[in-house]
Amino acid sequence: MDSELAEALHTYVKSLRRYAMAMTRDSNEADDLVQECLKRALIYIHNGREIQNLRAYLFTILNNVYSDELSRKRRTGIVVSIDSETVKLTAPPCQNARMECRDLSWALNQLPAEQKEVVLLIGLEGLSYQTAAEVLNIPIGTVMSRLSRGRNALRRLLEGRIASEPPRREDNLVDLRSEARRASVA
Amino acid sequence: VWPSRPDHQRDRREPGRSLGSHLLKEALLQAYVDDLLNPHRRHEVEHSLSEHPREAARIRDFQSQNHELHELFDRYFAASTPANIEALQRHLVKTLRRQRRRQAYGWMAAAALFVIVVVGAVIVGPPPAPPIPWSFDDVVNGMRTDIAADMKADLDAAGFKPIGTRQISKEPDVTQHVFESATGRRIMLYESAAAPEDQKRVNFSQEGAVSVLFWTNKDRAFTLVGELDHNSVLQVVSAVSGEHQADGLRAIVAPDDGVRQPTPIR
Repeated sequence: MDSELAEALHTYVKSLRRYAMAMTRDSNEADDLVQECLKRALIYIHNGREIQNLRAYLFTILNNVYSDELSRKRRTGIVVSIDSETVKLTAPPCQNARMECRDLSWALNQLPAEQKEVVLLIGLEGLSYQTAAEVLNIPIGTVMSRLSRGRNALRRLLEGRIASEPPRREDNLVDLRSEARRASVA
Repeated sequence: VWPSRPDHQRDRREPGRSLGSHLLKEALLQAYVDDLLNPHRRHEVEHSLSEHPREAARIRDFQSQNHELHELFDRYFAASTPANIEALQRHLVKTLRRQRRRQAYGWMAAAALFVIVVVGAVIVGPPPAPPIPWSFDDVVNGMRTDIAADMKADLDAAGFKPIGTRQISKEPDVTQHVFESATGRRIMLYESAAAPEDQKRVNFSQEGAVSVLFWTNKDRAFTLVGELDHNSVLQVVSAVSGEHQADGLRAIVAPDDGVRQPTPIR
């Protein structure tokens, strides 16, 4: 039983790193997120609380830490060198050098955060819709609509059609947020 | 899968953009992409897609997206974990194990309380108690092993014979052993893994005529519950964990030993 727990946690941590990497595109930032996530889990247990679904709990904490970090950056702004930004924005090469992967990497970064996290949690990490809803603390219907919008947006981006279509209301809102974030970073 | 509509509506409907049951249909398609449908529903969707090539192309794109996400990011899953994260991971495993052991003690405490409050009368009552209820399901599911096969302790010297052992919790592992005296009086012995921080802990209390003793022996924790005098409690400890441990617990279980006359076992 103990070895099962260790094995399960080992797999969860690897999933968390993959998800954090997909969200941040920066290995240091991703590892910082995972580290903070595990620390918070330890504190939670030390406070006598019980974790029912460890995997869902860890993803929830990771998302919360990521959101906190984004909010902090928006408030304070960060200084980054042009070189490091270039490295971050460059899509990692696929082993088979498929252009589609690079395009998807770029398109994923254009998605609003709330669509991106749903697409990644379900499409990459294989979470059920119900678990994703628990992780993000939103109704399952919202998960499904964000998933659909996210995938359709990715498709339009990959087809180069995004410019020719009027953005939806939520997309507009998030675009404004993205602009604000970029402005604070700059 | 598609809602039935008049032909003139269906023909003009752009795939993925119709109103009404659009959300339901879209949810089904997304669930199809994520392989969450049962075979029957999946077949229905595939049949519908075969009649809607534009929708089929859209769904294939979504499936490609999932595939490409893995191509992009799976190497981070395969990469080795940094030492600082691995250390935290090990710490978390240890903490979770400790938490599970504490839950085991919670089980034992709850079971002991149940015995004291609800079954107490059965322990004390002179007529022999009925056999421990068990069912065919218990045996099949491994929740009961017949006659104390797992309990090696011989409580004959204390006047008790084993009548049953049952696993009352698999996770955490908690086992209940039941012994009975010649007059039908029963005592319960709960056994589980001992948490490292509890390996020196001893706790003795009395609720009326019923004695409750918690002690540990190496990596096992025991809770004894029953109407027992001090000497009988120590005899049980001696049978379970050895005479040396019984002597070690004498000061706690029977501090007035030699003054108080033990009640003979009925």
